[in-house]
Amino acid sequence: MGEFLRRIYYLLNRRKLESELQNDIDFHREMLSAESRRNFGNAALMRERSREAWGWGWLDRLGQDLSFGARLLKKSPGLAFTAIMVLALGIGVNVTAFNIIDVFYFRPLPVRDPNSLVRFTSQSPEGASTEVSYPAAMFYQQHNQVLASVIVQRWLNMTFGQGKTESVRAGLVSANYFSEIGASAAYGRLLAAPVDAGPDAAPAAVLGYGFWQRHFGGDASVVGRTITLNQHVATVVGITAYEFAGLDPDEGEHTDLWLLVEQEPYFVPQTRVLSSFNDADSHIHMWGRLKPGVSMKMAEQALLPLAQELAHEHPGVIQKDEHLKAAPGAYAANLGADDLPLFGLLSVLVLLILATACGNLGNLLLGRAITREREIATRLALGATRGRIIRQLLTESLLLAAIGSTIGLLLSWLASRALVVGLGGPGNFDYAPDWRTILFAFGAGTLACLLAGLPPARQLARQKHHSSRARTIFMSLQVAASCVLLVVSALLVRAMQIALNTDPGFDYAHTITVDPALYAHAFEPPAAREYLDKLEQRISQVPGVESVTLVLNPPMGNRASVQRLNGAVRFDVYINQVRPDFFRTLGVPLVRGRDFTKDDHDVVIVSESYARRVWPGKDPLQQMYELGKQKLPVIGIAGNARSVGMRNGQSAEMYTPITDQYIKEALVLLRATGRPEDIIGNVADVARSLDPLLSPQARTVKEAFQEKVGFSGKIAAVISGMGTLALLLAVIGLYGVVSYNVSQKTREIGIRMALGATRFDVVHSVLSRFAVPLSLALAAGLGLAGAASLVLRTELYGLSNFDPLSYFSAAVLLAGIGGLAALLPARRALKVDPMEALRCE
Amino acid sequence: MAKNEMLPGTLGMLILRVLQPGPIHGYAIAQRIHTLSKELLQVEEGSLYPALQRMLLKGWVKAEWGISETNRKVRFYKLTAEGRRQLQSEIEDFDRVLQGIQSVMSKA
Repeated sequence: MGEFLRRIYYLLNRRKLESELQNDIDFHREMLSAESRRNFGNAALMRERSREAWGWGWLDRLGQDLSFGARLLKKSPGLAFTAIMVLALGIGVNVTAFNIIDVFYFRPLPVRDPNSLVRFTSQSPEGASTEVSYPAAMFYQQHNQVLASVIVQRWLNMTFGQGKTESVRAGLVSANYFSEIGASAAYGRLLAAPVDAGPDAAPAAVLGYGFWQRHFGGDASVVGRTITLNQHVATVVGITAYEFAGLDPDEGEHTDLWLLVEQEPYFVPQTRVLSSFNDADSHIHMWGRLKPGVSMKMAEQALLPLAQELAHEHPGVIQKDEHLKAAPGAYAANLGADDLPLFGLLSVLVLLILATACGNLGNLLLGRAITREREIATRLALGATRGRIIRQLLTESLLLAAIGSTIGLLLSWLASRALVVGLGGPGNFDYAPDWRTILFAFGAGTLACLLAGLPPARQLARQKHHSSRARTIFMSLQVAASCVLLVVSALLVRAMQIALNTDPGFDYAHTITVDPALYAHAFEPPAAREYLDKLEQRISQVPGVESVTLVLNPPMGNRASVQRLNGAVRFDVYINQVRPDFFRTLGVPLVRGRDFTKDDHDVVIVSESYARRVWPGKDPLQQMYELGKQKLPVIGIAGNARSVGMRNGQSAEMYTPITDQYIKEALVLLRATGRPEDIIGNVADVARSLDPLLSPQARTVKEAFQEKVGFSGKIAAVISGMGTLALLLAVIGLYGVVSYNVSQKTREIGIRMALGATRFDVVHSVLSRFAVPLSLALAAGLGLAGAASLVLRTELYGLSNFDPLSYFSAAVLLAGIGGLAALLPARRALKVDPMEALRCE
Repeated sequence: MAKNEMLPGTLGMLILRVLQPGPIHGYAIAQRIHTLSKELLQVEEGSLYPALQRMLLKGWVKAEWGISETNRKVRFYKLTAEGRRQLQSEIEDFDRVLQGIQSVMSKA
């Protein structure tokens, strides 16, 4: 048994060994007194020194400090509760933010061997695309030396059922998809290579858990039965597990059923997905599994010659410099450079909450330190060292940190899920904190407690009083931090009001979009044009329809093409392709020039804001619009509408006629004479009757508008909640500091009043010392808010990020409520009876 | 030299040495050092028991229950094999130091 093991043994058998030691010493004393020799040494001290030899003294002291700290907390439960709750809230908010980011960006999806899974995107001089073509993916699979397997996936809307059909979303995957993920079925089996992949394999479908619940009421006997998809029969072979979301959780949650991509021609006879090298025909997402020892960079390099070979064999379809780029594939989202500013802002906001909590806690601990002065003085007089006292006080802070962090962690567990699901995120994710989150929670808690606990501990141990300075610093921190949060929430709330109450430049209340999703059904441009012409014509005959047009990026939709103009300030032009009558249908005025005609091509109509920004003082109708290498004549000026980039105030719109290249992605846009809700059913029925294989989706633009604004509203609500929390903490803190100051100055106030001071003088004497630091804190907060708001510029529905009203109202609110919190205790100073005050002490 | 002072670092060696003939209890250790030193050295319990705890931890001595001459249950300390080796090396070290001191004292 080595010395280390003996040490552990001693730790575990302390009771027994201590009693043995005690017995030794007792015996020794008995023998001494028997020989009438005495020894009056300190028995306890000697025992302690002997125990010290076992090397566990620090643990004993820690235990003493902890139990003493716990007793102290129990003695003043009010203070303990406040401190712990302040800390738990501050930490909870931070941990929630951290946990959500962790879940989506840093925690791998539940797939087999996540580290070797990579996602490929296509890079070309013209830009990046998340999609490749199926034959290209298969070409890479057959000829590469670096990937153990290639996994592909795409989505398709299909009709489900016979007679009265409905639209379902199908995920089309390669045969190795489920086995590479390592998923297992809730019932039946999942699609797998030898059974389903062959050319003679029977059409098979796996149902998503949610779809199965909705449509079959969770009846497991559906496995083995047949269903009808796109008028073709397929056999249900299994049900996915409840939590299965595939490799793309956003889509995965809304996927109703899964098919093999190789069987798509059976369901969609005209499809070109398996044969066309044009990625616009197939929209394939590609993943790969790296062979052992291969890095992402090595894989990219090894695939380059294959990309050149493809480009060589398919000129015009695949570009010369097109190649694949690899990124980690097993994460719900990859952090892009565009996300960083918003992430930064979010981090700053939540850290400000922590700072407020920290300042508040600091004041609470300072307050307690003062009541403990006598106890500490006694201990110092009895010979405790300063280090020992500081250590004890910090141990007490750490005890607070541990309790606060634990509660904060539990709060964040609940909050993460509620928040993400509330904002429309996936519900079938595991939001439980992992080791990173737990580490972060306790790290943040410990840091907060050390920051808040060190100044009072030092003051106590030195028996010196600078507490009012430390208090002012803690106080200013809270005021500045809550100021930033209030300004940001004011900006977001004002932006919401603007979105709801001002004219977005177009009429969203009377319009409906109908999306036939032709691109998903392999329509060639002529067929697509023919279909859309017919659809437009049929819809225009529905009673209550005023006008009909086509549009590529629907108003309030999730699709956008953006041209970013160079300049000091970011400015985006949203490019849209439309058919004649678009402006009348959407209710956008044509200010000058003319509308498109059926025969127009290579001409543009720009919004007034574009003309004013790019051609100030010139006649826009005489200008040429520069789009890439093209120069296009401007034929008209439209009113300012933000139909696509509604949140983005730094933007303009530009329109061109729909080209053949994009025609299969177009939607029908129509204007109702009355309420759109009254005719949307008729419109949908008419649209569906045109082609039994398609099930066009009709939707009012108002609904999309409410969804978008609703999302902004939820974000504004979350930030406002944080702002309110910070304000509340600051108010509590301010109240406490002023109360303390009044109680300290009772004598002085008494003397002043006895000498004839007015009520104003008294209040002034109590509050004046706070005026300068708090004004500075307010100013610093406003400045910091100004800097932080730069990030929000494109999210404010056109409101300036320096909107004076937002800053002013935040400052007034903070000053007003803060002033009230200071005046209430200051009023107590007025009630001081001079005689009483002088008599006390 | 005052009655109860010792050269620093020698207490451990003395304890190990008096344990060499056989196991004895703590009080007897102090007694034996006292008598063997012709009453020159006196070991206080305040240093004896911490030293014994350290040696137990190092594995130089072992404690076993026994009955004292006054018929009381008490722990007897016993030298282990490792303790014997330790005693040997401490004696050698001590001799070397003593020789060094003596030669300085006689020549300087």
